[in-house]
Amino acid sequence: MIEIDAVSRYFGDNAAVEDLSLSVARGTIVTLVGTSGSGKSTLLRMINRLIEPSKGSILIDGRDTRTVPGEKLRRGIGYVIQGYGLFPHWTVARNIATVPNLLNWDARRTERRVNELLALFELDPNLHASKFPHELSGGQQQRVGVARALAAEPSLLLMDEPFGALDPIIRAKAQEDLLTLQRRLGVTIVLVTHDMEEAIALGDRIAVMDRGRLLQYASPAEVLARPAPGFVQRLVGDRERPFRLLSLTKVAECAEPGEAAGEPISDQVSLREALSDLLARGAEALPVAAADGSSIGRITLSALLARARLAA
Amino acid sequence: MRWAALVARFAALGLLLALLLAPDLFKPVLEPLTENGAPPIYNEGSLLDLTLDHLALVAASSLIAAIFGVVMGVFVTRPAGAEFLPLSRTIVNIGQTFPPVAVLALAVPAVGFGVEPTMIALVLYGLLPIFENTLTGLKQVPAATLEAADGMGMSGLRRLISVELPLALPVILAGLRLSVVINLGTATIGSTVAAKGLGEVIIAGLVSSNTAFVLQGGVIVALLAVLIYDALGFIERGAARRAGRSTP
Repeated sequence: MIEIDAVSRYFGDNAAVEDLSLSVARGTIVTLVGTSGSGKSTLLRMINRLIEPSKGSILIDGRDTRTVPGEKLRRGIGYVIQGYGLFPHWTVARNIATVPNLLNWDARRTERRVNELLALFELDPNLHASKFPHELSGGQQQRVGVARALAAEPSLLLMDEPFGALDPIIRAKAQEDLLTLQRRLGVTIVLVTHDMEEAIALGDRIAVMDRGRLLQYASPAEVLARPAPGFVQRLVGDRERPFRLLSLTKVAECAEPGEAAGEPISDQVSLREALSDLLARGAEALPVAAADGSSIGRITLSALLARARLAA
Repeated sequence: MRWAALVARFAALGLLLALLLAPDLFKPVLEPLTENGAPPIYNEGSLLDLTLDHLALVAASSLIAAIFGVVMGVFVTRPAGAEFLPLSRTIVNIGQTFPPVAVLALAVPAVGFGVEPTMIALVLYGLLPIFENTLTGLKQVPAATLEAADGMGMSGLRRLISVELPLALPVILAGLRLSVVINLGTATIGSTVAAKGLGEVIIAGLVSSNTAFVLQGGVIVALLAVLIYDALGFIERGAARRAGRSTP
């Protein structure tokens, strides 16, 4: 649990972050979203004290971060940045072992952990452990960056535009993998992004920031349904809102009993994808099938319309 | 192309060894350059010994310049030393602008004749490339890499030793290489203040109008410079590979 209490940070006379309070529940993902210069990265860096707050306090699991030496604090918090910042002169294995080495883990424990993480991130230890970062693809570098951040099993992970350098297809996969990983490990994640789509896709809660202030802090559904007037409204984008709202719900939650003709769609895809399928096939309704192939009813265009209209 | 470069290297090395170990071989070539029956081959001392003295002088002065240059470069790139950057730049630049001969002239009255004034001149002269390249090398370490190092919880010293210096090493070595080659040539003037070195051969030739001596001394220094430049370049490329940069 992170409690940010009335934190400000000034650079000269400019306030990068001003009187901002926010709490992040354990085991959830909070996305900080805003334009560049909104202070979201500054806020993130104040959590691990790469930047010291000018005013206010930050508590992690009830402990004031100022009572822990900065380096020690950071060794206990995972950190992933845009461009990953992998050490180019170290192999993948040594990169991942960075924090365990700083914590003086014994070699065998470190090696076991590195292999575990390589497997978790779908990198073959025999093939990739001894490679150098420049020999990896962008997607692989990104995964090594996250693996390195998780090496010492931190309970908190800070990510600053971690997917910014990936092309759209790999990015979607990486976001999905992050969600799966987070559910599995139960880590708390604070993720900075300028992309509202990403903030909605990943966040349990979204914090919208502008000019150093917190404009709205709510669940994705709440931000979409009732965006704070002004900046948040513009950021959410009126034309996109119905689609974004549909993307939050899975077909399983909206399926109704009944029959429909055609190839069934999975109950795990979002309503947005279901709408796209309906439009593409020119159908009023499509059958829905569970993962095991059993039919669980149908999804209709009118049900989707009702769902999307609720928001508008 | 590679093959040709290898042949050229061995030819240069062979020529150098022949000039040092069996100088008499070159008697027929150098004879026409002498007048009034002067000796065509340097006969006032062993060429090999002079070469070793010369190399020792250059190695010692380059080592001192490297230590000073790197330590200064590291210091002024730390937050605590940042305000000394302009001052250090000025000092180092003066060292390079001031002609070594003038340094010798000023140093001799202070420390006497011999190796010491030459060392002072060479250290001052060799400082600039090492210092500047240390700065460049440290500054070109990507910001993301430094931020990652800080974000992982590395201390400043740890970051310097295990991230910054290894990544800056190829550029620092390039500065060292330049400095060594400059000083190989410059060290010849040390002989004017009685430091042992290949300058003796050239000066002996100049005072007795013996072109053969001048040529011998000059060619040996030139071959040393070419071979050492080449060898250090090899080490530098190795360091660049270890720094994880794909060099062709």
